Amino acid sequence: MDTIVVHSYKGGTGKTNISLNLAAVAAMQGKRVCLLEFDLESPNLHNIIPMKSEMWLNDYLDGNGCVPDVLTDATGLLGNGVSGELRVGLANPEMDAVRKSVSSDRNAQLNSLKRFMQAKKELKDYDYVIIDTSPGVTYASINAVLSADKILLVAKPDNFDIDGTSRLIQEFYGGLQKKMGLVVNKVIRPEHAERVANAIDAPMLAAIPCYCELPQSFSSSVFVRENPEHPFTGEMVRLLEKIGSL
Amino acid sequence: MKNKAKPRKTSVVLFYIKTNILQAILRFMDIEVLLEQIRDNLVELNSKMEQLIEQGVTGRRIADFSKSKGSPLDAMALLELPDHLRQSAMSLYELERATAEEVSAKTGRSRSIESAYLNQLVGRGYVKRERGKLSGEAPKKVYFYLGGE
Repeated sequence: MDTIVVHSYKGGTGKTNISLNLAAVAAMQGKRVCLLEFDLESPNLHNIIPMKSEMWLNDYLDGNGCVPDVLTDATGLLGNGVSGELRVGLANPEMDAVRKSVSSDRNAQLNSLKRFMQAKKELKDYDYVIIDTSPGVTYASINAVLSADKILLVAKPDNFDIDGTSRLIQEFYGGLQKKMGLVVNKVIRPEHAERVANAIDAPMLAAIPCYCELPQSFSSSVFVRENPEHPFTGEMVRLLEKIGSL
Repeated sequence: MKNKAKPRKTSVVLFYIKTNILQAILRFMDIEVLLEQIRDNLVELNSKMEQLIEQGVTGRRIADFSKSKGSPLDAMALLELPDHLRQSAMSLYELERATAEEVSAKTGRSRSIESAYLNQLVGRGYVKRERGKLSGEAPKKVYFYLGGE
């Protein structure tokens, strides 16, 4: 099992898009994939994946139920004849749940990390566990990063992201001894991606161009499923391969 | 007279033996307490030395662990730990409750080193330690677990 956390310093880098489409590509290749929405403070995935499970991911982290109770089977969204499996643990989008997540104390966060470490045992039969996180240094994102084997850092080509991501690596990831790769997303000119890669101390796994078709799809479906020939789909396939070789 | 003197002599001897045993037990308990205190002091000393070494080697600011007593070992606290202690702590997250030997099997380090690291975490107030008492546990072995429930 490969546990991959998708993280970034700033918001709006495309973490959720990359997490979902990466998970979809792996499932379409016949793998068993579990996608966990650890962005408890601004959940999104319920807009694409209708909630079918009995509980939200938040409920599990609060100590209720077991992992299968929170996983929604989203394989159907990838079309017929998909040999793999995609199950998603969705975060609760209700404001009460978001408020609870933001204001939970250190003991609650400790128990949440314990629960997540236990979840990894229950998910050991999956080929990939992909974790979408909230940006920056929050309890949820650190819990996810600490539990993962590999970190996929997503950055846009701008100075805010370069500075923040560099500091994230130096001061936060530095001592964690995790495998790490960089994805430069929304690239307009190739030299911009190079500039980011030169400034950030992590191997660049992908430089994904800024595709207008992605926002045009209104985040209403799984892009790689709807657009199998699109270059973005190719980028996701190659990215998955490179993550495997980290 | 002879018959009466004998039991008296025996009871005096018995009293003497009992007193000696009691004193030996008390002395032994004292030694146990003393050893425990020495061990705790050494752990604290070791922690402080490691903070200084970590600060010197990496330049990273290390938290004042004297203030962490009783605090939960959450994600933020984990980030502040030196790398070698974080590894032990992360193993405990997975194992929940384990002996130094079980943690060492996970980290790949020797049992004695792991025991020292786990005791440092105990010294910092993040991990608790007790003799085996749950079903399936060896009563003579020491088990480590995270606080916070």
